[in-house]
Amino acid sequence: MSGTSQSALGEFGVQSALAPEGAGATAINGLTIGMTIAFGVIFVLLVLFAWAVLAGRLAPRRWWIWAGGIALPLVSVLALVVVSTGILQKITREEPDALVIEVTGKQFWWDVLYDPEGWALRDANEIVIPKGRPVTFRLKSDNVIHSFWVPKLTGKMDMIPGRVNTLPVLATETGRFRGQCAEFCGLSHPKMAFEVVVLEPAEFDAWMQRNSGEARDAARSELLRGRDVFVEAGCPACHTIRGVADGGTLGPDLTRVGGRGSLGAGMWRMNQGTLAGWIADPSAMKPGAEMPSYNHLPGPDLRALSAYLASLK
Amino acid sequence: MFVAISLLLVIAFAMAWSAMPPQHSVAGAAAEPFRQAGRQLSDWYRIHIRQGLAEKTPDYEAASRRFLDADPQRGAELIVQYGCGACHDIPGIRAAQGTVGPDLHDFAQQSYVAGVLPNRPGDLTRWLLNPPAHSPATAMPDLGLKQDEARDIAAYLLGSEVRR
Ligand code: HEC
Ligand code: HEC
Ligand SMILES: [Cu+2]
Repeated sequence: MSGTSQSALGEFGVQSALAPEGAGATAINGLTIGMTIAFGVIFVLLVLFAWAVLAGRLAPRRWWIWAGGIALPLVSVLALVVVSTGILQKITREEPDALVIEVTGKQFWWDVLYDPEGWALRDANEIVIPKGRPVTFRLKSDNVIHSFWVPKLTGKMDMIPGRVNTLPVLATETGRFRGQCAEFCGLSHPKMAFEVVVLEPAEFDAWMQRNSGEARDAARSELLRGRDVFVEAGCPACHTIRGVADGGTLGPDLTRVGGRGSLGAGMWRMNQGTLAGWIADPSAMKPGAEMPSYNHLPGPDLRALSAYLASLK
Repeated sequence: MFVAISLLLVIAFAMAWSAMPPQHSVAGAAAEPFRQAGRQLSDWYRIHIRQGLAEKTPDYEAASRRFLDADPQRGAELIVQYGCGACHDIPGIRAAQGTVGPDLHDFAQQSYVAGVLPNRPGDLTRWLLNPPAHSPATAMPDLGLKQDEARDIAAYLLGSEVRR
């Protein structure tokens, strides 16, 4: 039950449905607590009743069967249906002017496309949204079934190949909230997480502005060397860094990779060391990751490349 | 009667538990004092008894504490934070199973750091502060550690032998 995960990330966005920070999760949490209390009370009453009968303090009556066997379940189940349907309606209602973010489940990472019909800003493994402004996630998959779940924001929703599911979210608090793939999808399914970063609306707009252009320039000679290694080593076959190498889509977009909170889809803290370790041996950090090992790079090249990626913020 | 009361207690407990914020798990809260006491006891044993009894098994952790005035516990946290486990297999650190660099189990018994510096607390600290300066072709990057951070990490690594 410990909420702060002792993963390689140390202190990292918390993932708990019992401490909601979004409209959907708040409603679901309220429903859970209400149901637990209501049925707890019914259970206690039943136990007391049974005890009274067994101890001979109450003589059994025929109408009890009607009351306790039919009327009571009918009323309570009906009440449950009404309340939970109402909440389901509420949390899945889509706002027409919501910001659309398309998220595609991959093995084992997340492709993120902000505002597909407008900005079409591509990123990966971290989702930035504004506080208090409705957002609609458009959830897809092009391989197996995944499930998109940020317990602090709202309930989970499957990502099914060939279908588009939508999930509205309204964040009520700023912060970093951890999400997790909630449908077994292969070897590294447990290592397929991400973070949702909720910013104040003005900060969010600035963030979109800042990140919609090309990647940050390499300023030092080591970083320039790193950029060359990126191209020479063949990384653009799978990865895009806008302004440096476009077109790679088999792996996560790396245009602002150093600015993400985590590496490897929510698994490791982002820094030059973990980046270098990842490039040299991705499958040791994430079994089944669909990226080859680059342990043939000379040490200085590995350092330059990882320093360059870390500088892309 | 007894059954009814114990049922009631179980229900009350379950309800309270489900309503509690996740950081405050009952088991966690109850176990913490015991864990603390256990840690203190084993530290005390290592420093006062084991070290005093046997010259053959020097207590590196106590030694590094003395030499470096360092905090190996904080070193462990820093190792997690900097993600050294991406490249190294390190004793006592969960998820540190990297195979890019050398395995750091029993590191204290090694004579050299990366084959270039004598394996002493000060030299190890220097290595961690800037590996490429000592071994220009190395794959281990300069991770931007601060002096006191490198010192605490060095203390943890030198204590790794006792920690098995
Ligand atoms: C065959 C395609 C392929 C090639 C070539 C490739 N990668 Fe990757 N890379 C991937 C995939 C797929 C992932 C996502 C793995 C996962 O998280 O499951 C990835 C992930 C990454 C990540 C982590 C991104 C994040 O946000 O966590 C980095 C950094 C990275 N690659 C760098 C590189 C570099 C540098 C090179 C060239 C030396 C390279 N990759 C070559 C496919 C590739
Ligand atoms: C990119 C991968 C990478 C990362 C990240 C990394 N190291 Fe290393 N480390 C190496 C490699 C490779 C060597 C071997 C270097 C050599 O012999 O030149 C090494 C050597 C060492 C050594 C000497 C080991 C020996 O057997 O002599 C120590 C100690 C060490 N690293 C500690 C750390 C610590 C502490 C961190 C985190 C702050 C860290 N490393 C992060 C790759 C890495
Ligand atoms: Cu999964």
